[in-house]
Amino acid sequence: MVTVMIVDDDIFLHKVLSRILSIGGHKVLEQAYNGSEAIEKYVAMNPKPDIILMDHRMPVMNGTTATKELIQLNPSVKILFISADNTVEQEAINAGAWGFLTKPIRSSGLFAAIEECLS
Amino acid sequence: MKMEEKELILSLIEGTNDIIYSVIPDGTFEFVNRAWLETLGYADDEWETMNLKDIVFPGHLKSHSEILGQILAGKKIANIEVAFVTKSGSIIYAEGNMFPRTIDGNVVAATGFYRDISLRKESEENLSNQRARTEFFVDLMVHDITNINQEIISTLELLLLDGEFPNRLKELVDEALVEVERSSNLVDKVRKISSLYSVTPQTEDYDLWTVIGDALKKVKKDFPDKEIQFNTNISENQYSISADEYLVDVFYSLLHNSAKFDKSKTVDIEVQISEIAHTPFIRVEVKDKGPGIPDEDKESLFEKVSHRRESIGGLGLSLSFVKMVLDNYGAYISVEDRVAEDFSKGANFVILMRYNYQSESTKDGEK
Repeated sequence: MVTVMIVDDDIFLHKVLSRILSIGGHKVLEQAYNGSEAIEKYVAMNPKPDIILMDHRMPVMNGTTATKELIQLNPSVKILFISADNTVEQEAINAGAWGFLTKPIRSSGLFAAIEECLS
Repeated sequence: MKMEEKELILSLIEGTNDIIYSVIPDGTFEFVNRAWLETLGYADDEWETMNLKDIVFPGHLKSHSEILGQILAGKKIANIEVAFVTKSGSIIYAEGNMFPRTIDGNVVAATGFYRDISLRKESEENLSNQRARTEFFVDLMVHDITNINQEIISTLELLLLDGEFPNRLKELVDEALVEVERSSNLVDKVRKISSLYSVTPQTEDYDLWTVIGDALKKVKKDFPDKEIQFNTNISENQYSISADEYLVDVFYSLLHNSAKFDKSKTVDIEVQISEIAHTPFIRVEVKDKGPGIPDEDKESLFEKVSHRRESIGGLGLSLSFVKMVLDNYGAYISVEDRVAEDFSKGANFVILMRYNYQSESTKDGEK
């Protein structure tokens, strides 16, 4: 079982992703709706999630900025981007993200990426 | 200089629509031409008491005074942009050159030749605003529709993953998933076309074999129920092409159309490359055994969707997109019959594109 934190400003997506992850045998530990909230919640979390699923375009703080800060807090944190905007892929990787999935994604692609990220 | 020559020069100066003037070091005009008077709206008895400060837009005055200083120091400056203010208060955007006028080696005045570029400026500004608006709408559409598509896909998948979901309905859900993915592909294509209009392409070297291979993989994924038999005479590292990230989309679109329009379970696609002697160009032929393209549609096939004949159905944006991408590399695409004189035996899409090198050792490889 992999523990997950979902960071996305889309409430409905939290719901469906959580259910899909749970069917895949994973557990969603925490959810945040923007980068700033993600950092706050990540700092407070104990234990930390195995992986963070991160959107890019969010209010308050975007995904790449949040990623940079999270990497500073914990250089070994695994962050997988899931974004509709694939023009920021390189920016996300440079910020320290492990990988980038372009929306829309199928559950099989998500499970494979999570497995590969943590293998 | 002879009298006739002086008259000729004066008639040229007075006949042109370009603004010409000369100012002495304190900025007072010593000469203005007819176009200056007409463009700026002053009468012939007004200019002699005027100063350059009276016609330069206050926001440009500092930079223009600095330019004037350089001219009076003996420098020539080209392509100066400045805004002039007319007598009635409207702004005229002008572009021109200035140079010093000398007597016995001493600079006595600064002379300017300017062309009214207000209309060009206005067009540029309109274009820029239109571009910004388009980018905004495309961006909004790409982001929001993709997110909606993601939610639909995930919801449909949840239905399929539910153990109690009736088997008899699973096929319908699968079909719905394919349709949502088609919608996402369309959104992606619109984004790419929009970026082709607004961004200068950044080219790098791509191995043509790898690009075609990547496109083929995607197409095979799109048609899991079809067997795609692919044949090519190109091998890895044989041809390097200066292109951008969209080169793979060119081959994806062509191969995808070949697989889509060929109704057989087994789809034959062939990609043949040949060098055009004594030129840095290769001829890339993508041949299929689909329904082919009738002669009357061959010319308009790559035009914008709105300019095409209605009979060319189902091709959506893909071929206009292919042409736009190839135009950016100076490549050329056309369509021929796979079997000459019989379009119904399939199409042969021919691309002429520049390549960077060929490795002799990898010639004639089979994929």
